[in-house]
Amino acid sequence: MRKILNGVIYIILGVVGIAMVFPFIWMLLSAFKTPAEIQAMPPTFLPRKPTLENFRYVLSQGLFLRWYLNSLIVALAVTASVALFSSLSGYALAKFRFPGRKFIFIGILSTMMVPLQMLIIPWYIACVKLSLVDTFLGIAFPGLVSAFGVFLMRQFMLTLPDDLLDAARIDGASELRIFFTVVIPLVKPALATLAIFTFISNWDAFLWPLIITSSPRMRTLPVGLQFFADQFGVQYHYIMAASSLVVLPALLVFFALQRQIISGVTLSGLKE
Amino acid sequence: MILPKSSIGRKKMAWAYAFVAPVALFFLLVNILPMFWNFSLSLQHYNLLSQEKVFVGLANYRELIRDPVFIQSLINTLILAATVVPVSLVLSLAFALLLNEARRGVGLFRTIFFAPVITSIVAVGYIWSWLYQPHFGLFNQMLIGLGLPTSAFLKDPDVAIFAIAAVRIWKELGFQIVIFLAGLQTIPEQFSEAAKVDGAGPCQRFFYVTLPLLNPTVVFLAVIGLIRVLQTFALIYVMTEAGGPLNRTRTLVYGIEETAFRMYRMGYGASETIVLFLFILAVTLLQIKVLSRRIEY
Repeated sequence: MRKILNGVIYIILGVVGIAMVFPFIWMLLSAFKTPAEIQAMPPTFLPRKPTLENFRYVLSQGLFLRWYLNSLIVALAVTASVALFSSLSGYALAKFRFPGRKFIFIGILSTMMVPLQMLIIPWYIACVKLSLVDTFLGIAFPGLVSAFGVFLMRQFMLTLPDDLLDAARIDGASELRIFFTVVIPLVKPALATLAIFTFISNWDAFLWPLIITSSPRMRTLPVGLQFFADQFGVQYHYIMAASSLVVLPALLVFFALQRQIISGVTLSGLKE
Repeated sequence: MILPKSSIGRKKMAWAYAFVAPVALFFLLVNILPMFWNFSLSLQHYNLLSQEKVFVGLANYRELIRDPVFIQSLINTLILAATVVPVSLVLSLAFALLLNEARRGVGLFRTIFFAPVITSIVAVGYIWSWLYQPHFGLFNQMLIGLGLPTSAFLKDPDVAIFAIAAVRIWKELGFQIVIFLAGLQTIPEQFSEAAKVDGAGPCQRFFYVTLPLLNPTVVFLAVIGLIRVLQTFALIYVMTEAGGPLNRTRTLVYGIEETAFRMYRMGYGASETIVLFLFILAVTLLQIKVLSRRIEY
């Protein structure tokens, strides 16, 4: 009885699992087909004459490498900034007593309630006035500090033993030194999780980069893909090749780091 | 609050302020002040192109409630939420239960379900647009192969929003499954065992033991799933043109982007964001009230 049940479970999971990955497989297969084959009726499954022409064309037309670089620059800068400032302020909020501590903490937390859309219009007007449209700073600034990051690091810092910090103080270490040589090594796991989550959500950001970039060279990868696909309307052999270029590297990184990524995103569920 | 007397204490406090100050200042400048600015913008006619900037009181809001396109976008957003949230919750709970029963291969299936979660939403939009393509798209080819009537999917006013909903469910499912799995693992096995001894069948055990204990997870996923779906933008922007057939896929955020950044009507756009915020707040509170149950033993 148990065996039959198990068999049924695996059959269901297998069918659904194939359905879940199928869109990716179909994207990849379509990317290797010729324009004639992609419109064949009935459709072919495996490409009859696999071609790299679509990829060659996409790489020659779009600025894909540049968009990759832009996305990487923005996501890395944002991740580094979030990691540094979240741990600095998280540390102060967890381990120091000072007037206004609670007020500041609650103030920071409450910003999580405000949806992004309520801020983009003022941000854009400010960027126009400060000439930040179409610059890296303009794309990156909304993410440089994260309320969720501050919250996460504070919760983690609370678990650090006070005795350890006081011992370092008695030894004559400065506060900055304590932070970098005692505190940071102890919170590395939380920091890694925060970094992975920050990188992923920034890598996928679309609305703000779309608004704040205007020249092709400054677009991030998702915005670049959108503009590229918009030009080629219904030529899905090109669009699927371009999508593959965007999707596959991310999937490979995911397979390599999946344990950390899944735990990071699970934790980040606390966001929003 | 007692102020420290010693110089060491004062020094420590100065460091604490130095650590917190950059972050606090950032939130003040980048999050809190713009929020108030946004509200004041919603009371103005502010056009970035014509440089018009006039205080008009509640005129934007009055225009909003009479704007049929805006009302349609509100309805579409609600339909999307009412489809995506319950369907994805039921499916993800079902798959999480199956995965919880499966002894081997959990890691593999978790990876498969999770892959769409980390995939770029723009790329996802194009992959599915291709599947939905009316003439050569795989879905219609399959329907033809099975001898069933075809559908225009994204071009059919009655179907388009549900076609979008399916994509969102596909993309979110893995995240919800992972959270449900984590929730299921916190339930002590004794409860289920005890119910078994008392003669409860699998269905009874699910409805009287597992589900009530999972309630916090359900509420959590329903609330964040709802907040996310109410902010749907990228899929609409990528998959349909100008808000879809008869504006049937236009969502609130799509409308905001169009008003503010293609028509440059900043004030009107700002008033739309305020409505979005109130909408999110109201629906979320209502949902928490309906779903949350206090469990006592």
